[in-house]
Amino acid sequence: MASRAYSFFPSDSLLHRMDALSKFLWLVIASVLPFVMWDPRQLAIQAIFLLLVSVFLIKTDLGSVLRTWGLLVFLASLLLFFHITNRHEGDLVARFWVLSIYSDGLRVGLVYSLRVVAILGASYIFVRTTNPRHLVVAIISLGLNYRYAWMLFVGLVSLPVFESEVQTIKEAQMVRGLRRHSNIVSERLEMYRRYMMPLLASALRRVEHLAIAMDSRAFAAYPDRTFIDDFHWSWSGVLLLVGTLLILIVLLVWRILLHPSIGLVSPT
Amino acid sequence: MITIEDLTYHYPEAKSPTLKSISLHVNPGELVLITGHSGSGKSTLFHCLKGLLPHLYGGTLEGKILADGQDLSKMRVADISVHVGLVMQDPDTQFCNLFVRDEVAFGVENLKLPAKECVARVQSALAAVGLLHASDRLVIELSGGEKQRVAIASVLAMDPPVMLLDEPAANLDAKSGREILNFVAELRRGGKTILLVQHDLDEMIHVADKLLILERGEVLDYGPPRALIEKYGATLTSAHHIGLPQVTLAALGARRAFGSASLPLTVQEFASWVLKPPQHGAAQPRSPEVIGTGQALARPAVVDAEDVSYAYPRAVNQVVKKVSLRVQEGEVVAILGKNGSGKSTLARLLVGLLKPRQGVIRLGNRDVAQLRHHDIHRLSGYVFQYPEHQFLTNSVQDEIGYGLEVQSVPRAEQQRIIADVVASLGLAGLEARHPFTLSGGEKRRLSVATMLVLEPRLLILDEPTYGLDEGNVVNLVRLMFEQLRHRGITFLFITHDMRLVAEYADRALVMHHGELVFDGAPKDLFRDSALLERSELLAPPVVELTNTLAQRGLAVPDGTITVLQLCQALNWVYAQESEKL
Repeated sequence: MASRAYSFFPSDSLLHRMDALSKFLWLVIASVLPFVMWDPRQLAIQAIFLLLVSVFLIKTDLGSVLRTWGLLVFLASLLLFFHITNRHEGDLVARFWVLSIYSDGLRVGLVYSLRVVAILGASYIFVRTTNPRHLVVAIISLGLNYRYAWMLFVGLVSLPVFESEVQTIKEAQMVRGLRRHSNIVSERLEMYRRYMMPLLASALRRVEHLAIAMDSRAFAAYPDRTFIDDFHWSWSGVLLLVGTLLILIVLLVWRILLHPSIGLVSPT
Repeated sequence: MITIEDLTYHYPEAKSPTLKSISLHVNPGELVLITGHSGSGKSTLFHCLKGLLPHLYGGTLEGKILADGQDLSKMRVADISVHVGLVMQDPDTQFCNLFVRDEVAFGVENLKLPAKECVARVQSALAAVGLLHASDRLVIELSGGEKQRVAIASVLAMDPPVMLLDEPAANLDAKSGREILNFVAELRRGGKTILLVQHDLDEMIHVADKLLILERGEVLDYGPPRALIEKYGATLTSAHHIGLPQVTLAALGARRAFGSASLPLTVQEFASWVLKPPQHGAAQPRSPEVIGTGQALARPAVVDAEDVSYAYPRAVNQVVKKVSLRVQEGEVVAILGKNGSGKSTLARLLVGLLKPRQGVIRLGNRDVAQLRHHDIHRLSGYVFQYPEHQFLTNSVQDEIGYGLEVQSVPRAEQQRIIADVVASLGLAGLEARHPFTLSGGEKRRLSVATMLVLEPRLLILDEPTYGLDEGNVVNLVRLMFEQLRHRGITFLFITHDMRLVAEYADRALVMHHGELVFDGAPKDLFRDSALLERSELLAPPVVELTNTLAQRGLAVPDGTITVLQLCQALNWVYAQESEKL
């Protein structure tokens, strides 16, 4: 079976062994970092660092890493192109036939696109290496009601099921003569409308069955419940978290001391 | 142990009660087999026993459900779960964890037992179902049978004395299904009280202590299975739409061979009770009333595959490996294999839904890879396992006409074709209904109708009996297959139901780990016990019966694979004998 790129992949890497809460907090900080950085080179360093971690440290299949990062680079390129073609301030840097690239467009485009790469790259590492159940246990240990945390968990683990259901519905409707691809917007909307009804019926059936299966095993019977795996902080996770936090603090101090004019969050 | 007194249940906003005045008593350690046509109230009864109704989903419940003297209808669902456990039909829809160990722990964790005890119970439950080694595996990586065993283990860990099992083998291939049912019988021997819903009575009728027959929400009868089978005989199928075991059906059809003996429930009983066989040689079957002929005639190929291989995107392993086959015009072909053997992928390749990585597929002598979507759609059809996946419009009439509209068939012609198909598939009177509001059998017929109107050269039916009760299987499948045959449409069907294969298929294809390991007549497949074993398939009970009779000196003709063929053979033998006397 094909492994889905943006989902948990069981392995025994250092990142897999870190506790889920440290990684979650690391993700939060790693997502804030790109907004503190003001130079595209800083962002590029973060993106390359995350790429190297994805390739060498999370022990997943290389194909999945390359596909995901390929998609991220593609998205980033689209953003970059959008900014280059829409911002005409600053100095003219280069001209290709009808396309003129100005310094502001290039800088802002690079900042935006590298931010996207950095945030999605960090979340890829998090999703790929974190068992959603461990995250749920960790969140519950912080005081969140387990009923809500479990809803989040079931949602996360059900996504691949619905993805495969959509694929089956697409094929089932193709057989009826419905085209899979159309470039006309109205046709596309009509196509999605037709997918919705069977998908909704199927989702309701699945949700009903799952609810019965969970209720009949005493889910939510008591205000709290046991977990066979308690949450524990891991040294490696805490080190990662503290290290990233330090980088954030250093960057903030640097900005305030050296570039007081640009404020706490980078301009675009 | 369980006593139900005058139980009546009304769903919210329903006009009439779904369960009406149900009363019965189940002793500790008994296995009660529950059967009834779709909508007879089997699942509703289970949900009432589990307390899901009315506590969680509303409605009104009257009467009493007592377990060990305690009224379950007045207990909280959580408290009931330590008395009564529930395992449902489709394991895939009841999992809420990624790993086997976590899934089995789910129930005991909810009961707030100490973590150490939870772990001990998980290990003990996994050991009981033989999956201790799979504790750290992902649930989605397991086979269908293993998944169902995980579902049972997650209930076993809670240690309820009563277990409700709602068709636990229905979604599984025959061998995995038999393993699950054997395990259910073991649970009973281990002291559990079991209530088991099952449409197919063959495997469990002789193990059950009691048979409960539900009809339109009421108890039609409740008692020892043998007594009820004797009492109702063939009317159980004809009047109440409940399938009898093949062995019993054969005995009913060949009464002459039994004298005054009672009806057998097992192959061994049949073979022991049948009158001493006559000595004048082998029986000769009359022409069996089967649709397929089993003959390989030289006719033009409708679909032709040559060295076809396929792997899903991003997957490492091929799911179809170098398959070559040729399906001739008018053939009825069954595609068989255990879950995950590559049956559905092969079928999707044949109608161009997937493109082969290697090899060529020709549909009507044209390479599918070169055909436009429109042409493939005109030449072939595919009825999916869940018919509602294919519905596109808001009425039965529009649904049937959709394909004709796409093909730009003139309106008047459309009306004529629709009227013809509606009449022949028994959909008259339903034209204005929304497809999603139809019953399971009606939805299946509608999805076949949407394909029939286009008169494709090739039609593939994916699990045509899925979710249907015996009455629907007998009537609807016969109707569908006869219509297809009548219209000269070549069709392939994917199935786990070997009785269907024996009765309807000219030819069987067996897939195993992506390879086509058998391509031939069903009778040859059922004769090859080594192949059946390797492919994890089971021949229908009537084949086992025929073999046993042959071993005991009653030479039933070679190739007897249906109940009808066996009855004809036995009746012929014993008629000759009586004439002699």
